[in-house]
Amino acid sequence: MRTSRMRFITLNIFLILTALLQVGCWDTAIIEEKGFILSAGIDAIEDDPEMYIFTMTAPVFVELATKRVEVLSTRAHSPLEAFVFFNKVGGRLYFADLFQVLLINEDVAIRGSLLTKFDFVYRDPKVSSLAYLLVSQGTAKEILDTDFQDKNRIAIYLTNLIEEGAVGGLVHPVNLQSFRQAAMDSVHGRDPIVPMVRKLENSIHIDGAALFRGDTMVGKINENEYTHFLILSGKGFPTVFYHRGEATYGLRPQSIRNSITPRIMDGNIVFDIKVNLAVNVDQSFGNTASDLSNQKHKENLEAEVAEFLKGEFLKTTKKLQEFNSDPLGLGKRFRAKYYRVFSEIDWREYYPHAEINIDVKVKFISHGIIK
Amino acid sequence: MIQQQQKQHQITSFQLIFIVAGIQIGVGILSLYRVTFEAGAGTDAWMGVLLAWFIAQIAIFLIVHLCSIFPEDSLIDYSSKILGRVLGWLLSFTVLGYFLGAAAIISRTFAEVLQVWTLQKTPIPVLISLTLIPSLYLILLGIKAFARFAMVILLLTWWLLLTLVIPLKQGDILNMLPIGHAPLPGIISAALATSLAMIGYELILLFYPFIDRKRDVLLSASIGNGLTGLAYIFNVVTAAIFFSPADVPNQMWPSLQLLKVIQFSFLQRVESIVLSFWLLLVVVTVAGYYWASAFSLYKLINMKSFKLSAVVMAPIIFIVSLLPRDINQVTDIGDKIGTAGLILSFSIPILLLTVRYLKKWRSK
Repeated sequence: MRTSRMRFITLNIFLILTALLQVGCWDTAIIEEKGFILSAGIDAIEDDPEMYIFTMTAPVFVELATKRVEVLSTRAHSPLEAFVFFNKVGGRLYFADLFQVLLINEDVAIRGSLLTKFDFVYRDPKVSSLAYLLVSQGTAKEILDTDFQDKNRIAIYLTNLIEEGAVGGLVHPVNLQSFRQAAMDSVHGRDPIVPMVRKLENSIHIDGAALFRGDTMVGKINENEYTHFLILSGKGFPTVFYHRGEATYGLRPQSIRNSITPRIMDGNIVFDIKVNLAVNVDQSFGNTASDLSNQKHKENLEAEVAEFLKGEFLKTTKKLQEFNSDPLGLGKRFRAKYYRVFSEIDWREYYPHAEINIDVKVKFISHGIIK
Repeated sequence: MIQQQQKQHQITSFQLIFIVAGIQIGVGILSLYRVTFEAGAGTDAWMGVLLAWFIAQIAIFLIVHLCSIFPEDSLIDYSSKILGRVLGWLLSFTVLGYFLGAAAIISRTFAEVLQVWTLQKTPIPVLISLTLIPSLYLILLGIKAFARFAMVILLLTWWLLLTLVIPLKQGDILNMLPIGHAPLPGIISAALATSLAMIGYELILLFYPFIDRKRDVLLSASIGNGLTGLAYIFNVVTAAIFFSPADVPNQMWPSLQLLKVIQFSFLQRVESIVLSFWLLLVVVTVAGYYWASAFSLYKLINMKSFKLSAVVMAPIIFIVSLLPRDINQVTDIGDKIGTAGLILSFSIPILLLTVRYLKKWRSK
């Protein structure tokens, strides 16, 4: 009798406590009143190095609205300052929980100290650290403010551009988290590389990549060089075009196996890079195009392509060394093998003079249903 | 009479595996990589964890050896028998204070983590109640219920380790290379720094009389400790591969930060889901220390009812958990509790065994 009464009392106490803890259950959220910041941009102001233009976009859910996306812009010192301002003028409560893309203008990236600028983004656990990072040629505001009529909302368009590009092997996505890790790694011999975008008439084009040293942009590589970087690093498998006389071949890597081995020879740092490419020949046209069913022709062409790619890869790595940016993580590999030597030298002094040997092997695995 | 009651509340040696692992895996794992990294092991933190596991194993061996001499008694009973009434009482009182502090600080630490990561507007006292109230309820049901709960929770939450596969895949193995470059003192410091994460096995000092097959205790406790070691090493290796070594000191709770990279189109903020499951694991840890403090009090002042002792301890643990000013103080006290746990788990068996053998030798 006494036990059942005790049990009854305990049960009721827990019922009341549970009810108290469940107060959120009747708290409804009206979606029209919420501002989900999906993309944001940062532009530099020429005459004030401490001030930036922050732009953010949030989808509009009101049925009769003429615009699909709300775009707000302000001058501020930091993203949080801008965020507070947006909340004061937007008439909605803004959230960065679903943040998808951060676009930074080239000049902002060159000014550097991006990790400090993004502090708010990294500090708040609610903000998605998986938001993609892009460097824009031209202002970020212009891109975010454009309504690309036949495309999705800007944030979704940019996200799809990166994600689908990654599926196609054309781009290596960088998000806020991976950027932070690579930028932090600068002291250990690895730097970030961030895709660059440019606005065309009614679209956005991925146009090479920005090279960083730590969290400061130090240079850029064009679309072709980015293609070679992707293959060299094994981070993508974009189509390469090889011209031979009047013939043009379109070669799509099917698999890439590469190895980077550091060594010290006569006091010099040397890297031996081996790239093994298995490619599909997706295009072979022109009067002098080889008959790929002929084994000898095929092998000759494979050797030619390998030699061509070797030259291109060397040019690309040379450029990376000239900018003293190490997105291939050569320093990190050297550190892993020669930790004591790495600790005693200033890697940044040695990296531009390191000798890089590249050996490329190409194998055509398919040329489709035409010879 | 007490012995008869104890028989009614026996736990199996199989359940002991889950009790040991369940109590060990609490809040320490959340900051494990940073703590071991900063202690001097760097990216060789996993070696520090391995050494910590080995140290814990030695402590378990000593504790079980001590307990096996008094199979029907707990530490509170035989400490007076060996050291005499005053010294024994003093030791028991110290141990009670340690258990109380551990329950309070673990509960508070998890409340702080919850507040930062998910429930930002919920007051800390409410968040502390989230672990204390279920713990109170659990220990009022008896040690058998606690053992079953620990077992069910561990079986329900082991999959959380699988979530680490995603950050592991996104990491770079070069981050943890070269292996073995940390100096030995750094590895040893790292092993000692893991004490908050490793403690929990010392509760065998109180659980021992309740375990059914005493001969299997060492094996069960070792398996429990082994499971914890494996989970910790996997966690630390994943973090070492994921984080740039330069970023590790900035991360308060690397284990949670790792989960921020997991996102699905239908589910974001996976870490908040993980935290809600983690709450159950923390309840096991808090309940373990809560039970130990209540049991120590019950034995120490010969209270009539264990339930009364448990109810008395609840507000004390609650108030003690509210004493630290902020998260920095909570972390500091947590580290000190961990160190105290490590010292006690070695000093108690060594002291008591030495005194007992000396007495035996003198009587001969």
